[in-house]
Amino acid sequence: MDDKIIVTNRSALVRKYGSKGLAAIRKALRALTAADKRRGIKSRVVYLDNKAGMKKMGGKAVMNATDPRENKAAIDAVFKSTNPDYLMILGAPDVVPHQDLDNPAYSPPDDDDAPAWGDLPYACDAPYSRDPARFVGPTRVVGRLPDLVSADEPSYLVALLKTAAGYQSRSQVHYASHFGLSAAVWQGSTRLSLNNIFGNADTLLLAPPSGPHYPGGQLRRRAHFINCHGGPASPEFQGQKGQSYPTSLTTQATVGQIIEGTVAAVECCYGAELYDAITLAIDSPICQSYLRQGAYGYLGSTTIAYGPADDNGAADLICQYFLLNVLDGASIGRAALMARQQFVENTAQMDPFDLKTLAQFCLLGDPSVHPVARPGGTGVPKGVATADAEHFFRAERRAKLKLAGAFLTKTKPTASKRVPTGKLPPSAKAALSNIAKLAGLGANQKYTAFTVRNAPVSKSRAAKDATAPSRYHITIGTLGRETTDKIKHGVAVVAKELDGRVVGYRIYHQR
Amino acid sequence: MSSTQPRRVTALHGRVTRDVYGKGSKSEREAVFIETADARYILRRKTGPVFGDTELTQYVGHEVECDGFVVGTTFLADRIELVM
Repeated sequence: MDDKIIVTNRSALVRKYGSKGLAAIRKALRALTAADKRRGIKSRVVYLDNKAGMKKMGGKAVMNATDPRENKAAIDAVFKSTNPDYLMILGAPDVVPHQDLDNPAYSPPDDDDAPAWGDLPYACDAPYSRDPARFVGPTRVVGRLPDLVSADEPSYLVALLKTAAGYQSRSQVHYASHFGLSAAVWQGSTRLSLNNIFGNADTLLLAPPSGPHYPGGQLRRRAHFINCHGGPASPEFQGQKGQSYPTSLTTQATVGQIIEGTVAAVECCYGAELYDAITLAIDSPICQSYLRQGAYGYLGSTTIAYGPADDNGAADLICQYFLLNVLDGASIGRAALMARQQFVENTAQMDPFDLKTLAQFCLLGDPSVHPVARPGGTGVPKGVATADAEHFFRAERRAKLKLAGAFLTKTKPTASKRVPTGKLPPSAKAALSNIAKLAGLGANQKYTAFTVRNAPVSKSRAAKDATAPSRYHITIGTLGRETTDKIKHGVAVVAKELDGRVVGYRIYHQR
Repeated sequence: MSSTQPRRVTALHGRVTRDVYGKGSKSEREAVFIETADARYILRRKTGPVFGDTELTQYVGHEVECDGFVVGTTFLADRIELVM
């Protein structure tokens, strides 16, 4: 019985690093599995491209390393065969790819992410699909320890494996003092988030004026929460005040500033995009700089993220849940799984923006790492080995998470399928027009309709579910007011329709 | 398959425009685009800031030729020249 499975692709690693490079990685992996053993965790490395090994597990070897479907099927076979407590994906997407989920909010040029790349499907029992609505019930503890895309020497990956092997849990007090950074325009939302996580937002830094350097040593705190702008293939985050978008953090500015044990939740668009910095000859992603310096975990988004202006929603929530679970003593992998489940559970119906949020946030780091040590509520009697007791408690927690995920899969209504808007009753048309005006958009703003797919329900729940919205209408647009230097302000609107009546709406302001 | 595979492109011809990018998202801002016969990309200089690169203003409204990389919907340019 294996507690932790590390999946990777041997031929992809050899292509990148040669056999000598692979030997260095295998040596580092041996050190990690030995360290895991000392912690009472039995770990095993599985090469997804190993025909014999995969056959033994009832699966097929991956032939094309970058094919999402093949990798999903192989990892599902590994999971079914071994049922590990932790699954660690070793490598960047050119070793084991992200899954290519369709982005339900895709609306070029406003949201031009065709896929919402991510690792969510690897955390789910459902088979390969590009529909994110299939993956609202994650049950597996999954994290990715990435190397550098297109790297040809393995020192980066070896260093990350060394961090994972040598990690130490600390008391919660080490994570109480935090680095909170927000674009100035979003301080209302970020203050709420920090208050929810840490009980205060006293040390919140606003950009501008803060950034990109933090000479006061603020980056040397172990808990990080960042709510700024980000861009594709970019080693920078940006703040915002009015029409000014100054740089708030860069890869260069993090060098020598991130301390061992740091855990970060980052809301920025593309904040966890593992872009190919080597081919592009630009600085590596900020997330990878964090990990290189000894960060234990980093939760971020691969693509464009969403959140309301002064309230909390979407990206704010999944990041908050993650850090709260870490502070409560969960492994970073369990913290991410619980964050996903809590996000789905606390969302009445998964509208297109909720589905994109769930799909795009990924955990980078060894999922079995426990940054915070918290004594459990249950004592262990004399004569019972601590490791045995921990096995038992972990099995209990996994069983509970599995039930929770299965329940979400069975019951959560989702809206990922576009449908023709068709003829709306005049009252609904007027309501959508009024909501658009309320959001600052034109009265003739065009909406896209999504049908709500209700999960199967028991007869006793039928009456209650009859009140669920039958469709969602979304639109993304630009506010009418145009500022002097032509910076515009946009909003995304989601309106709920029940049998021809618009019964509710949400407005996401630009972030 | 992934979002991380840049494609090297040389002598890309197009017209440079300015428009809003990422409406309603956390990335929303005014960005500079290059519009070619086949596609529209966000135009960035490899050595420039991601947001508000004032160096690109000189190209807005003009035809240009660029070398660089297509990364998703972004063109990361290491050479931009005005086409007279």
